[in-house]
Amino acid sequence: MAVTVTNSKVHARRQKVFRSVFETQISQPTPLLPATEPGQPFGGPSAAFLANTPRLTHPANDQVRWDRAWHVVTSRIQLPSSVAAEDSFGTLAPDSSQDVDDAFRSSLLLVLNPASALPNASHTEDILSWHSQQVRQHFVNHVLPLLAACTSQGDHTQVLLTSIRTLEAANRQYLYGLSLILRAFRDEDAANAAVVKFRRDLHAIIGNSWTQGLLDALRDVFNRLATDVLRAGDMQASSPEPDKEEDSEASDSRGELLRILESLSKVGLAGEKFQTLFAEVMNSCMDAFIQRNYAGVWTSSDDFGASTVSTVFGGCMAHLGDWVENHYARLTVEVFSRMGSKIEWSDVEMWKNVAIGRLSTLRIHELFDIVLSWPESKGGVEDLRSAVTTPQRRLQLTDTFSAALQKRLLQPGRSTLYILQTYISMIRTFHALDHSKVLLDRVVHALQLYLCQRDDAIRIVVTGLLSHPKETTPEDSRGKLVELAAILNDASLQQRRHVDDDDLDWNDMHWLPDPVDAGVNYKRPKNEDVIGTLISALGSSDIFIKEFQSIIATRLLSGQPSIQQEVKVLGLLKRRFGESALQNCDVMLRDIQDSKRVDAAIGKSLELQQDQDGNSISFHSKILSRLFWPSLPKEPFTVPETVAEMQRQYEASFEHLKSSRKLNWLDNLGLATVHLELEDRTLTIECKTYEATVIYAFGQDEAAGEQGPVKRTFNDLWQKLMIDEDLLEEALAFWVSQRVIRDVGDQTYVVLEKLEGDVENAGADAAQATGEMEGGPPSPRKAKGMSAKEQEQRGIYWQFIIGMLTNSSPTMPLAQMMMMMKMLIPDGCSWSNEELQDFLEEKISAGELELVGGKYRLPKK
Amino acid sequence: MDYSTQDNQNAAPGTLDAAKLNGARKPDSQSVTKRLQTELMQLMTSPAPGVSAFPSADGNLLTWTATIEGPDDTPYTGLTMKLSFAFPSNYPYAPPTVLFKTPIYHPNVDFSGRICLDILKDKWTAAYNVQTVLLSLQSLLGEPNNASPLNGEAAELWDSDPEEFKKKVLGRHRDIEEE
Repeated sequence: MAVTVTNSKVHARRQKVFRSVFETQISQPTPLLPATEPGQPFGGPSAAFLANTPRLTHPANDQVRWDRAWHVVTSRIQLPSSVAAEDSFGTLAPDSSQDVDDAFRSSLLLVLNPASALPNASHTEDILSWHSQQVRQHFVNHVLPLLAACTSQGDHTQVLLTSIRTLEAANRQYLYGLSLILRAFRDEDAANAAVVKFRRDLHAIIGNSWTQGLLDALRDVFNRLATDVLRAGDMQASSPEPDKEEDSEASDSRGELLRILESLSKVGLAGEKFQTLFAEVMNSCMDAFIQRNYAGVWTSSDDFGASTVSTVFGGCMAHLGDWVENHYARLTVEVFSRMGSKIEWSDVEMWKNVAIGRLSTLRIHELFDIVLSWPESKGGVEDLRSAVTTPQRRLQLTDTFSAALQKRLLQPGRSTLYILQTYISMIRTFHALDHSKVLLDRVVHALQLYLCQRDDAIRIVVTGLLSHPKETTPEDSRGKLVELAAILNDASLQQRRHVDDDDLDWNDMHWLPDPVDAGVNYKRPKNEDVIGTLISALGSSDIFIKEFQSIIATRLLSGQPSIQQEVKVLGLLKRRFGESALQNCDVMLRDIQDSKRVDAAIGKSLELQQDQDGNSISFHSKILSRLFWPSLPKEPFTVPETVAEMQRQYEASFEHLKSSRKLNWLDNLGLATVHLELEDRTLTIECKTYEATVIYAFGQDEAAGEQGPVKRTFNDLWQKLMIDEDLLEEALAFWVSQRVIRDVGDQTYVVLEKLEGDVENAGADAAQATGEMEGGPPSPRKAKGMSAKEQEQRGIYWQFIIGMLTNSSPTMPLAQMMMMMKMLIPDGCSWSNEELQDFLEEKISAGELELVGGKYRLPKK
Repeated sequence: MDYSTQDNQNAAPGTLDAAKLNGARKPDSQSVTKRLQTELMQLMTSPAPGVSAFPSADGNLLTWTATIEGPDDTPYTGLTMKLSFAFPSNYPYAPPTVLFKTPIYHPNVDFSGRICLDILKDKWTAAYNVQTVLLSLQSLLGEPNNASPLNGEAAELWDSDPEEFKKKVLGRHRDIEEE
């Protein structure tokens, strides 16, 4: 209710404004009578009276006659004031009798030509302008409120139709009045001119009478109809079968739309405002169409087959161009021809460009998803490639994509593997999009920076390269970049460019100039080169090779039966990095192969001795050339006596075999097969050497005749085996999880001779043990939470500090130490000032360092 | 105690200029730096007992200071000797200039600290490095080459009167930090 109240208020105000601008105080149907002759009857359309007084020629009489004629005419064409029903103007005033008409005609003649017919009438007016004034006033007073009432209806179509009907009726009414006047015109041209003028006036009034409600209604209706019409161009509609049905629906809508349009233009609503509105409607239609048809549709171009008209654009582009030409432009042309204007062909071309621009914007925003679903999304990339041609669009593309990358990929929630997989897809997608690689270079920077923070990136890539492309089952491949192995093994992708200076290759018929937006040092790549791009993103090839070496080292030492995969990958990598860079790996592989032979030879000579000794441990080794292997952690511990004896024999025969070489045992890196005989079961377990050593320690004292199961404490074992706490703990956890020993608390472990009585307990223990393996329990002796690598790094840094304080300068402040370390350590010092300070504090409290006057120094011996 | 100034006085002028330049003008200065960095890293990761070395405090990689602890069972046991290394710009194709900073009484070292050792002169090859030089010098302390002495008296005493030799060694030795 409140709305209508304000509405009417607004209307009142608007009318007030209207009146202040236009002259609304028009003369009344009965004009003023300047002089009335006494005795002369006056008032009322008395035809008889008028007819009977033609002979009066007095000036006053002229005036009277004119007045009377005016009165007759005006009262005849006066518009009804009732607005009770919308069609109140629909019914024309009934044609009265002939004589009234005659009277009207003669009066009209007088009114129209006052100068000739009534030369003496001093006060005359123009009936045409009176009529338009009257119309104006009538429109404001009666039609506008009606229109306002119309818009209060709920249904938009209804609003539109009743509004149009109202206006049509008003139009009829107004024109009827005009036509009455025009009947008296003898001059055809003058009549036409009058009609045109009147129409223009009327349309001006009506054209300015848009109400918000009507606008909304019209927009809604047009939107619906235009959408219906244009839906005929949808992708699904291009299939032949449902064509008929949808076409009829579309043509119905088209008919309705054009009908409305015609009536609109008839009542004068097809003015500027309408055109603006139509443009808006068509605009949103195009958006909706593109969104509806192409969002997430990335089928490649061949799926469309022959139905596409042009083959210049692939995929959706062709379809879109087709649609703009045959549906969009058609509707627009039809609409415009109804309004009397023409559409140029260049306009259609322009629309096409606009549409393509919109589609490419859509694709740009989808690009990240396109990348994710590569290669199913080839079609989408095709679209982009044909659309992204200007530097502006390229810039828009890279900007949008970088933003998406930051938001969706480069965050802690994403696993490194996922990032790398996405990166591979990116490399391929962007290669399809833009062979020059400029776009990729622009977006990839953030990704590369981010990958540098992920320690496991290189590891994942290398394991991916080393994984076997055929053997891997889906479960296996989940954690690996199997794609890489496939690429590496794909011979077609292995072609290296043979001419490095391709600028000098005059016979290269595929030469292209560098893209305008290429950066400095730009080099046009020849193929997509996924591995090369990936590796270069991970930093220098040195780092990659180093990581490759250490991974291959662990793989070679893991006791896998065959090293074929490694040999193959190494060969492929050699082609990429060159022979010399991978020399170390070569040596490593050869070591493994050699040591097989040497081991066999030594084994044979040992067998002879064993036969004499009656000792039956089978013992094998891998002999590594220390200089060529990455530094392997050496964690010495006391190996069981039998094994140590074996080692000595082995060493002796090795030195016999290869004089001037010496064996150094890496006790912690081996594998052992342990055979356990417990009271109720025997177990054969493959385990690490240190694990074997630990469990061996549980067996030794049985001869001592202790009652019950063997019991060992952590500290006992630690002292006896001289083993690293971490290793010891790991080994104990391993045996607990194997349910061979049990943690009875207080760091004491007991052999689990019988399983049955202990099932629940053991289960709990096992669970606990696995939990511990992951979480890393607090160690009794050492500060934990520190990886072996970090330990090693701390060791090296400490050496650095010692060397620095012994040689460079006996006392140094923190900042200088930091600077020296940053400068002198080849890979840079990864510590911050605070970390270094913490480290030095630790050393001070351990008595290995002194802090005097803000400077550090080594304590005097 | 600032060693770098001492280095300036003692090292050969040519090498020092090259060291000072240290910039990008030398095409191979990069490789010298890299080599020295690697050597330093090697010293840190696998330190040899009794010897250590480190670039000078101003961060110039071409001048180092080294420390040798006198080996047991020699007259130098318990003593600590400081040395300076100045690397030429074409290192490792030319030997570094090595001098004893600590005053030392030794048949192959003269009173200004210059050393007579073949591998630092004509027997130098690029396969040597700081660590091998230091280890050679350490063994030189226990086994002087008396055939070509710089200090004739010391060479004589070494053979004739070890007691007197030891006395001379201790008399000459001074820890330069104390200065």
